[in-house]
Amino acid sequence: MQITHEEAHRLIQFNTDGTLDPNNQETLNAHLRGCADCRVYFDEVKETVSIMRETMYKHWNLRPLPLQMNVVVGHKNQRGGSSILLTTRTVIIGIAFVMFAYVAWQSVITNDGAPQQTPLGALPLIPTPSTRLTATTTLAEDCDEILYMVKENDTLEGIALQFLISKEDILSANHMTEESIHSTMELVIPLCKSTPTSTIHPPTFTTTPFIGTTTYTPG
Amino acid sequence: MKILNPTSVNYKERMNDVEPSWLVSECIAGNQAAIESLVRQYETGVFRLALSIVGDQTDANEITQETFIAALRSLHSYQEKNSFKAWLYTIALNLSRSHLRKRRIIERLRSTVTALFRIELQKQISPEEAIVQSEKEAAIWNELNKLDERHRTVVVLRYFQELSVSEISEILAVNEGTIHSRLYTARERLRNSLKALHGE
Repeated sequence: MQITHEEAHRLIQFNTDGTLDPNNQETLNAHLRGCADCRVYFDEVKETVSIMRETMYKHWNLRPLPLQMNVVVGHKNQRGGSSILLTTRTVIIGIAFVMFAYVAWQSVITNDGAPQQTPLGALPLIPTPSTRLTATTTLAEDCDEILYMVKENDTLEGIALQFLISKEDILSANHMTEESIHSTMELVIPLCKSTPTSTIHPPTFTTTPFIGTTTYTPG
Repeated sequence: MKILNPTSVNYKERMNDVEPSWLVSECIAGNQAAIESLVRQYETGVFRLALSIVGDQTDANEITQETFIAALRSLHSYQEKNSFKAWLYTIALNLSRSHLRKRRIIERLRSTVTALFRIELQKQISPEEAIVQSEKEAAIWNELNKLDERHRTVVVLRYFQELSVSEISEILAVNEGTIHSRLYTARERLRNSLKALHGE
């Protein structure tokens, strides 16, 4: 079968690419036998590829450093490890966020309710020596009052001393003119009048959480 | 499919002969010996491919390691109907190319800095240049390095990695006609460089 020089060149390309089928190979061989120019071209292409192969092998025929299996496999397993880490981190962040949201919500509720009221946990109880100054400062602003149930044998001086206020303050807060008190009587104690001068500790007591006032029951 | 007894002494050696698909399924199952066998079987090929693209042994070693890490991670996505070698080389090639891109950016930055501060860096003669013995080889090597990455890659895959045109087509995800065309263009340029040498 006769082919043109262009077709022969095309077959030479396929031959060099390694994709020439046997029939076309035979056709090409037949053409090359009778065409000196195409033979020269074919030889040039073969020489180019041969030198190219040789050069590449000289430069690149190296061996790698043997891969460390623990590195390669370690990374493979790290996927699971990293997902566990990620999950743990997410859970911790989630819990922290929920706690933060709860605290924020609580604080919003407290502020919205009644700004004048003191939360139960911060009720101005009897100031202790360590908290006296703080309590006094706070009470001076809020001027909270508590109700005191008078017991037998109580005296106005004693009550005043317990709450670190003067008996005149008790009298004026209760609009009293006389200093006589009796049991079952309820006295309003103006805590804002208390002064950090006494070191007397009050008796134990329980509080009932009605807002703004505290019922005092001597234990 | 060959069934091997993991307790046999020649287990690792014999695994080099088994089909890649069997080896791959063993690797997915977590068989450490199979993983090592797979790595040892292909690490040199992957390294040489990376070396031929990036031209630096240290970088090529790094890319080889990254290739196997990436391949072992995504082994489940390998489909048995395709050639495992082609699949692995695709990963290696992509990593090599991305490495080249990074290096080009760094080199561009460096040349900008050099220009800014008017620093004249002395061009060092690489040991690679000393290897080249004959003029013809030097001419071919220079021309090979001047080829753009698309043409260089097909030449490397065909004549250094000795892959078939269909395998190269699979790796590069371009049709076989394009591969033929690129091979022809690259070859002609190299042939002309040889002719220029004779002409001088």
